[in-house]
Amino acid sequence: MKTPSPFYIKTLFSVLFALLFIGQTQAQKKERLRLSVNHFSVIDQEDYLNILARYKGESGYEPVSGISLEIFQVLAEDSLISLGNIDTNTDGIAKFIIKNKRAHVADTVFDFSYLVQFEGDDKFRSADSDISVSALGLTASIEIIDSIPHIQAKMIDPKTGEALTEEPLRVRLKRLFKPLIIGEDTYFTDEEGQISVAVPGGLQGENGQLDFEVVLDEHDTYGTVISHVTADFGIVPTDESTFNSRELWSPAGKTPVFMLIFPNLLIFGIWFVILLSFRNLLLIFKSKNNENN
Amino acid sequence: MSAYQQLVEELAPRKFSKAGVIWVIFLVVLIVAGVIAYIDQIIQGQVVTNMRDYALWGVYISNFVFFVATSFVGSMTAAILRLTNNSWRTPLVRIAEIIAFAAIIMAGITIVLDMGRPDRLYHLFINARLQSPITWDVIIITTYIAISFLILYLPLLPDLAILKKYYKDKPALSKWYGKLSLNWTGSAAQRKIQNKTIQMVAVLIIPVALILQTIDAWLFSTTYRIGWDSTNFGPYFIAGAFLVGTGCLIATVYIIRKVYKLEKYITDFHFDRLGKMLVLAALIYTYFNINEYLLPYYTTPEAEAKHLYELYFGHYAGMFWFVTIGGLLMPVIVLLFKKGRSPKVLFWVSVVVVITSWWKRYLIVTPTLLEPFLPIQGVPESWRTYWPSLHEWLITFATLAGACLIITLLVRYLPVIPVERTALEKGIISNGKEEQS
Repeated sequence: MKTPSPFYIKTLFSVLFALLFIGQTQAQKKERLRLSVNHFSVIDQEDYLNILARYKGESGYEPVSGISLEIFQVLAEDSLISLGNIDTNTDGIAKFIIKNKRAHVADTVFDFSYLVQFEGDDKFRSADSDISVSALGLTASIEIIDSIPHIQAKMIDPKTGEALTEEPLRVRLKRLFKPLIIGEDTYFTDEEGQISVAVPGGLQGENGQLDFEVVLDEHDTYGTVISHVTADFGIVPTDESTFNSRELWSPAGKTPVFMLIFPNLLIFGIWFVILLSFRNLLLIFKSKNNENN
Repeated sequence: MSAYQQLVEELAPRKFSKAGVIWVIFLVVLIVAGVIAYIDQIIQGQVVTNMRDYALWGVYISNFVFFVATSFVGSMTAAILRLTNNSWRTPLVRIAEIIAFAAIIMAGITIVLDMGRPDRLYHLFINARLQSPITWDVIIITTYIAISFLILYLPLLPDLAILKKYYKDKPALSKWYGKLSLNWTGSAAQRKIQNKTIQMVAVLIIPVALILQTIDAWLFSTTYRIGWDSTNFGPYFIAGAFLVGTGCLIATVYIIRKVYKLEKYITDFHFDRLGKMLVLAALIYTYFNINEYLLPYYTTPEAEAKHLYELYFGHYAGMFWFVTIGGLLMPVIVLLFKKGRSPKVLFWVSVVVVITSWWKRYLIVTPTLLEPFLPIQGVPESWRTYWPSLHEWLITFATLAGACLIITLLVRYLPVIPVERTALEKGIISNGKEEQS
């Protein structure tokens, strides 16, 4: 039998090794994580980042839940300061409330820059995303004009104090699930950086309180900025629940009165005759005894 | 032997013949099989039935409605004929009362068989809501049982006293009849109380029977379901009960007449009258069926049209037309002719009427449940159809056998034809005292 030459043996091992390596590489192939970051600023309340983590799965973009993200503020000369960590929820979303931020230290035209970083894990490669925003002065108030309440809002650049014109603002009434748009979908600020929107009547609010929001939505420079203004001219909602009233579908203790009266009259009337009949049977039985006496 | 003694001899209860014993054994075997199936149903739960998310009421409820309807015969013949003083009723009323009593007892039992947790029966009472048709049903069935007992028992008192004397050579039996007759002597005082009470109960049972049938209908029509959501349902059920009750009465009367050889007392004239009553019942029920099935076809929304289509031409078409032709049209056509009202033909017509009436209840209950307004999500496709399981059939047959056994035992120990009243009508006695002849 002819012995294989060392060349063939080397070649064979090389091919096997290459196949094994390719297989391992494919097995370890990690998905690319996509991070999108939005900055929200609620005037006089809080600033936060809304982060969405996704990857491109077989059926389109799918949320990545339960991954840990680290949030940094970007300072001068690209130095970073960690603001904290947060995990994504089942929808791949994380809301990171920004505390301890440092003001006006970025070396860009923006006031604040943030970096969201994912270090990578068994399934996803490392990823990051950044966002930069500037501070905005957005004030909202209620004014009564010709007996009609109006929401007035003003946008200014806080650094220069100049009015910001032709900027789109939305006015909404805060609701439990989805805000109610007041007036038109979008209003643009005038040359004084103002809008004025009439509030329609008949709006309901808990204890008559209405919580309006003036919103600058996903602006390239300022991000999303929300200013709240409350008013007490809402209509107090009346409880129209039939839970405590006597209805056909109420529990036994809340039977409608007519149902208590008429069926019971029928039932007791019929059973009175039945019991009378049984009493008469007893009388028949006793009448024999009386005859004997 | 005097005419009176001969009458008592002919009408007194008799021992079972060989065929009677076999009949009772057959019924007991069916009941035992049903009890075994029921015990297994309690142990394993209602998973042994074929009732699922769609058909959450099945053959048990159909059977219950059938029993409730059959019990209507008691008020129909016993009360109406009694109050209108129809003399031809005499040999029929007690049989009608016995059927009604047996049927309403079994209706009460059947509803318990349908419960997943029979040990919680008392919840029906302690958690009762007066707004619920289920509560009305519990109350009215209990009430109807009491009234059916009274309307059966009160007129029996003189006959039980007669049997006490008749069986004087059998002391144990005589003693029982004596006790059950409440020491009846036929005194003026006893008769006065008895007549007054019978009159009172006979008047009462008519509205109660109407309420019972109506509540039975409202169990369905108060739910917003295709095929049930109908203002026609109350009278429709009453008319249906009138038909099945009459059919059941005719079939039972025929068998008792044949077995006890009572041709002298239950004559062809009675069958002729009963035949006419059956035609009347079938015509009234046909009228309500037209209202229930034909008219909606013109105006009905899509979902109901689908339901009706299923009945007319679809999965249930065979059963629907069997019930409609066999239970409504055939009796009317056959019984319009005098020969059709002869006892034998009338008996077979009545048997068909009773069978179709049972299936009619099945058609009222099941197809509607299988066609909800919204399809039920996440259930196997097989749950969209329903046919009773072996457990359900065994239990159902046991209840039917139970009703037959109650009737058989009552017929065995009670005079099926009122002895004293027959003697009075024939002038053999006057005021309970034997005429000297």
